Amino acid sequence: MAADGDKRTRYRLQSLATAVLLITLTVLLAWLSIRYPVQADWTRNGRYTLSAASAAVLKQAGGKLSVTAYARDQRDLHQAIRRFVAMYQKVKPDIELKFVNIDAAPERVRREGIRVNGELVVSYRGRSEHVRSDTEAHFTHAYSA
Amino acid sequence: MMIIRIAMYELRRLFASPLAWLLLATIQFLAAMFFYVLLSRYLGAAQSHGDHGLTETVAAGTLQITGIIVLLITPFLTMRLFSDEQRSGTINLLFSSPVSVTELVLGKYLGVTLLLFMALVMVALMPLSLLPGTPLDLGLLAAGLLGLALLMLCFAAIGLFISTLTAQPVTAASATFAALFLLWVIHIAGSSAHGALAGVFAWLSLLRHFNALLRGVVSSVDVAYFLLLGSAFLLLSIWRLDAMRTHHW
Repeated sequence: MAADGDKRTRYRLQSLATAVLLITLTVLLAWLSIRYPVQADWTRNGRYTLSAASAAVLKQAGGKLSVTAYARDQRDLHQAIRRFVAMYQKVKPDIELKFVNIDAAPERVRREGIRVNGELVVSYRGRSEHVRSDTEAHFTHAYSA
Repeated sequence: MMIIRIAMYELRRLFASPLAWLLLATIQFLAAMFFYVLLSRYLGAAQSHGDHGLTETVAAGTLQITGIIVLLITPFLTMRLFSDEQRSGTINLLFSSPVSVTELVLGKYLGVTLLLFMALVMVALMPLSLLPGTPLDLGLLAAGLLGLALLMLCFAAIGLFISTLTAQPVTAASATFAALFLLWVIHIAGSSAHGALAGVFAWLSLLRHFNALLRGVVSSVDVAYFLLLGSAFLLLSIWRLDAMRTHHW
């Protein structure tokens, strides 16, 4: 009887180990899938791909390009901005994106002359350019929706 | 092949009861209703769409609603898979038959997925019916259909696993519904999290992965999410049944 109990415990331990292994493997694979993403744009006009002209200009641009997004702490808005900038980052991976919460830094917002929630300030070679919501039609939509 | 025979048996069993027919009809009716609403709204306000095409508004919209309908329907399809066998005791017959647990799980899974894919094809026919009248963005539609197919694969696997846990179909159905709904809305819970935890919630959020595919962007992250979740629950089902067979739990 005692031997039977031992056997049962061993089975259970084995079974538990299998489950733990399985879940670990899934988590590991998930992590790998996030680490090495491959993306394809299936839309007809390549809506989520930068146009050839813009890409060419961007490729010629040497030096560091950084984008500061002045946006409220809204998840959808942040996501839309990230998605938008990601389009450019695909062509030029070293583009840096920073977020500034306009509610938390009113002083800076006034100094920079920010007018719209979600405004992007693109700095390149010491110059900076303001990009407001009306530059890309789908960008506008993405965060007005 | 044993798996296909089990799948066909399962399908026949589903169609022998009015349930399968009723569920297919429900999916079709609800999807058609939303398709019609979206289409008429699109036609009514054609000016105000900007660069948002028919495919994105109507087709992707219909597919998203279908995703919600599938969420409501799947628990009823999967609840009987293994809980009925447990309650009636036929599970022991299956265990002592020469069929392996893996074949059993994959067979039943295939059966349910085939039924869900029938619904997928029927829903896909609605946006495709617009094709003679207007050009559609077929790539976007394909990505959306891929998303819905992956969603179905994932949901069916979760439902199947939960049905191995209990002998009561109703319990299995409610638990499955709770699990699927949780996956659907988990991004809400994630919105108040920060740091690494927020990342975990964001990855778990089914809606985020589904919506990315509906937008026409096919990313390996989103496809892997559904496949990983689906296969993990299938393996868990095999694990659970295997434990049942050896320990008579």
